[in-house]
Amino acid sequence: MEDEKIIALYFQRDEEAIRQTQSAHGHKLYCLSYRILQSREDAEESVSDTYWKAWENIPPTRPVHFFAYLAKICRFISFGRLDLRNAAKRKAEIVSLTEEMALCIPDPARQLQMESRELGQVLNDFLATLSEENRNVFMRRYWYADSIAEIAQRYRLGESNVKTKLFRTRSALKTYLEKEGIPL
Amino acid sequence: MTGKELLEAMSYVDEEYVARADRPVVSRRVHWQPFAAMAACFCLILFAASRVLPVQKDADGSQITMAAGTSRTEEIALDEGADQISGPWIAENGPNPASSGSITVPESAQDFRMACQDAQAMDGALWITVRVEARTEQGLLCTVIDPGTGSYPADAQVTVTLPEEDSHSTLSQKEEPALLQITYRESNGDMIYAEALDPVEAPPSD
Repeated sequence: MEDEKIIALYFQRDEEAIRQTQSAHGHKLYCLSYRILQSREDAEESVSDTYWKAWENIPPTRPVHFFAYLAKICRFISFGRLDLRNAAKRKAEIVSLTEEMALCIPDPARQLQMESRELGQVLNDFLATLSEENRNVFMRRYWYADSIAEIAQRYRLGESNVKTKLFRTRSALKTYLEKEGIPL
Repeated sequence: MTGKELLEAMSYVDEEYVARADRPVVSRRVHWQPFAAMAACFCLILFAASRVLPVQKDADGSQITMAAGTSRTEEIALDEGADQISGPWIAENGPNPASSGSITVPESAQDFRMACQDAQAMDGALWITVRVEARTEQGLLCTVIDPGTGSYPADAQVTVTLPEEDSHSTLSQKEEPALLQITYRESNGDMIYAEALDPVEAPPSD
């Protein structure tokens, strides 16, 4: 079923909307959550919570990009469930992602007093400066938590090429954060 | 700020970017098949053009080039009795290898007439030279002098029906037998349906 029709079901308060959402986007949401949590049970619960949250928010919210909207909720919920210490024991991909992102922080030793929402806006502005391909590669890695191999296969690039792009983008992000004078 | 915080802050980026990153990837691979097909068509057009507009060089190397967009049979105009060519022709001095669609400049009206006949023959028309023996209701009773490109042998008796525009022309009113070059496409037995008639001067008798 098309996203517009599913959203219409939400507006009609028809519970079929949940089933259609699961049918259309359930697998991708589960994969996203599983990459972050590395736990099947936790991922399934996160996806269920995502459906419940969507049911609560639609209406009045009418998402323009339905999957992106759901994925955003799912990502919030998954990070809320994330216990990095336990994730490290499971050798979760998210641990290496946090380490990679830590390299972008201008001065990790100093505590950044910045709301995540403001930081998100800065990241948003930074993404606008990137080319379409570099932005998509960056998003697949640090938003969807795809592996290097998955990104390389998706965009028909070599893995070393993907690594190089990510390294350069992280370096550019670090420079951007310094230039923007992130309050430290 | 930690890496986890930065990673979590990614959740706040625009949904448009999230949606774009999730779109199916359009292959950027270059497909060579359309280019190969275009090249093949181009070669075919070049080949066809070289067959339709053959380059002929006269003994003195003079050439003429047909103006673009003109039909060979339509644009060739023969001024009877003149050695000059009239029509949209561009005379060039000396050979020009770069020019395509060139044919030889005829040295005389007779040569030019032959060129016209060749051109007509290329369009599927046939020609013969006949001597008019008598005039009947059906047309001109003739004897074939030169078979030309037609299928009638020399000395064959044929009846030539005149084209509409020549039915009352001075040619059909001539009293004396004359030599005619006849261009035709259709015939039925000894009946020839002429499309064009051209008087031909009798060769000088020795």
